[in-house]
Amino acid sequence: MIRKRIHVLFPLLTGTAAWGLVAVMLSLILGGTLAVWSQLSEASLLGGRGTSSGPLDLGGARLSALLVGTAARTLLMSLAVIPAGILTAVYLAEYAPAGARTPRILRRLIEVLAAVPSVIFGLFGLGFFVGVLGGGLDRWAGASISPVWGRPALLWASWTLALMTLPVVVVATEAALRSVPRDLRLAATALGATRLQVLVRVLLPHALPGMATGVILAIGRASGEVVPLLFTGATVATQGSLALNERFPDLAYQVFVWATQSPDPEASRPGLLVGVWVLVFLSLMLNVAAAILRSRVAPVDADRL
Amino acid sequence: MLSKWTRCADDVRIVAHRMNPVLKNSTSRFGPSLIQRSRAAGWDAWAGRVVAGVAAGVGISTVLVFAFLCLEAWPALVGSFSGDPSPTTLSQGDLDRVPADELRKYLGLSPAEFSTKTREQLRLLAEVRAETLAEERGQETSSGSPADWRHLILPRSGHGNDPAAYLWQPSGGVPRFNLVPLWWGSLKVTWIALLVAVPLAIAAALYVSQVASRGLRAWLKPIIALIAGVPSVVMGFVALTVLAPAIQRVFGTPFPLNGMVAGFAVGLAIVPVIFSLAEDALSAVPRDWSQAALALGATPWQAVRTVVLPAAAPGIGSAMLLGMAQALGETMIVMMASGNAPTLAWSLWDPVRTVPVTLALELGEAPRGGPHYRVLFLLGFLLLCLSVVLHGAAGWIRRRHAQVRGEAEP
Repeated sequence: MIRKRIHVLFPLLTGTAAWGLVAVMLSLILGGTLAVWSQLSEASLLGGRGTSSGPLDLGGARLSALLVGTAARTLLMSLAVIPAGILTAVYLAEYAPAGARTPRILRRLIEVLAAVPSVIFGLFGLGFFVGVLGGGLDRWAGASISPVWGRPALLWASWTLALMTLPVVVVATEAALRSVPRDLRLAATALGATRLQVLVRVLLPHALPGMATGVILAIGRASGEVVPLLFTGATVATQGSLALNERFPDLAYQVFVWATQSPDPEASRPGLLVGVWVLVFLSLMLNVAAAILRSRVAPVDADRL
Repeated sequence: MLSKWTRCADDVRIVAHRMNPVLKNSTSRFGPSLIQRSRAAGWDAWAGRVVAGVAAGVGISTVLVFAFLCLEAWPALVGSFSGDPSPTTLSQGDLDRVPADELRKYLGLSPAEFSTKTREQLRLLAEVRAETLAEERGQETSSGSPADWRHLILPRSGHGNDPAAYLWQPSGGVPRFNLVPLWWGSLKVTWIALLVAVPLAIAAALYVSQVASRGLRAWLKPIIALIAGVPSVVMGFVALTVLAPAIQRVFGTPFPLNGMVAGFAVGLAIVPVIFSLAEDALSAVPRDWSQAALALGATPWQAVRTVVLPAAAPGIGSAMLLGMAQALGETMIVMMASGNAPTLAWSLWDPVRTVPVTLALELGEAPRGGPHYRVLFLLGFLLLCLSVVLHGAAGWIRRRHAQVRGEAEP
């Protein structure tokens, strides 16, 4: 009897857990959309209230400024992390002598980097990028009392994020490079191509979708991240600028400020909801794009070989 | 045999197509010219150097993260911290001899403030400063620096008749840096998160890998994994606005924001980590094994309990370790939902403050190089080491398991 009951309960309980998680995800998306929709219908977003100055004015902060700030720091991060990550993966997959100690140590180091909590990157960014690099730059340039580079800034924040997302890009690119069929490599070599030619004309084009997956995941992880930016350069929309050595407006940081320390919760509510909605959809889109890219790539390879 | 040859020819065609310019240049009658060859070899060597150089740079910067944190935490770590060399007290007569800039630093004023003070005001400020210095010096000689290991771990008695207590009060007149309440908070939140996440994630993984059909599995797995992509500030917002009021209404807790709310939200955030890895481990168990158990008359639950779960246990264990590491380092959710009071209470319904949250809240205010700054870096270094150890243990289990089953590491 008991055995029979467990027989029924097992799929029931496990199914509840799985579908419950799906429900959490869906309610997050639907609930967010509905909340934003209700705010929209109150017309506070579209300039209905007398005080708001434009379509994207949210409680004194312009959504466009926040988006531009977030885009700028993500772009700067990509400029640093894509070359560094891809070249490191190329070294690990192609140039490193097989079975040698150096690539093994490097691979371990990157695993370790992936294990570092995000708040530690903030610590490092503040201490090293802002303090040592920026402070050193100021001292070298003989800056006066007010620091020029030795303060939280867009550049340092982007580099901190780049360090944080480096393992994602390296691991994805290395896996993609290793998945290139051996025959292709041999065929290219047999045709007389040098190592560099094989890499640029055969391996990289073939590994492109895998690399793109890694880059998209890295951008997705970085775009909603706040903690490393808390003391390396993020600020609210009304204060930031887009200069490399100044604090920049950031959407995720603004959401955090609105949610926890807003002086007037009612006024910041529409902005908060829209901000949360944008963040959720941004990460959703990027993650779905990465998943589709990955699932599209693998079967094609399997079919062709 | 034939198919292999056609496949090979196919590859050659593809490569030949992609390398068209190379072929055009190099298939002269006698092969590539010597000049072309040496030029290509030169490029090759340079590319190799650049690639190795960048890889070395990446390796060095990883080491740098560790070395830098260790270096900044070093004085607190070895307990040889003596604070800033406390400035010598200036007497009345010194006031005119000392350079203005030095005097300004000694009094702790900004240039703007300094320029507005009259000489009389400065003299009064210097007197006050001398008194505080004398007081601090008395404190330090009696009990050592506040960042001493003794005070970081053991309770310290306060003024007068206050009982000895574990206190984290970085910004008092006499700062207290006891690490115990912070780690206690981290422990509480991590355990609640694991208690929420582990059953949920493993049950969902069992359903997806054992019960659901193939088509359903292809949809369910990525959707649940999407939760990992939700930014933690959004998760914190949900905990703050949805979870906290709901929990307070149901349980009638005195504080709306407490360890339970934070632990629950963190648990939800680490579910996809544990789920994905546990599902991988469960799916890696050969289907034949559970089929054999079913053929012998076991119910699905019996097959799972006696065959599948033991076989996947190392993978699930490593998934749990990784989930634990993430819960330990989670900052944003806890900062928004836990109330952030560094107490040493047993109750799970009290506000708590965890280690990463302390770093995020206080690092901006800690003056560089001071005891507060050093102790925060010490906390960060300890957190980093713990996180790396947990990840290392998870990786070790996974690798060993793969060896036992005779699979090569991917």
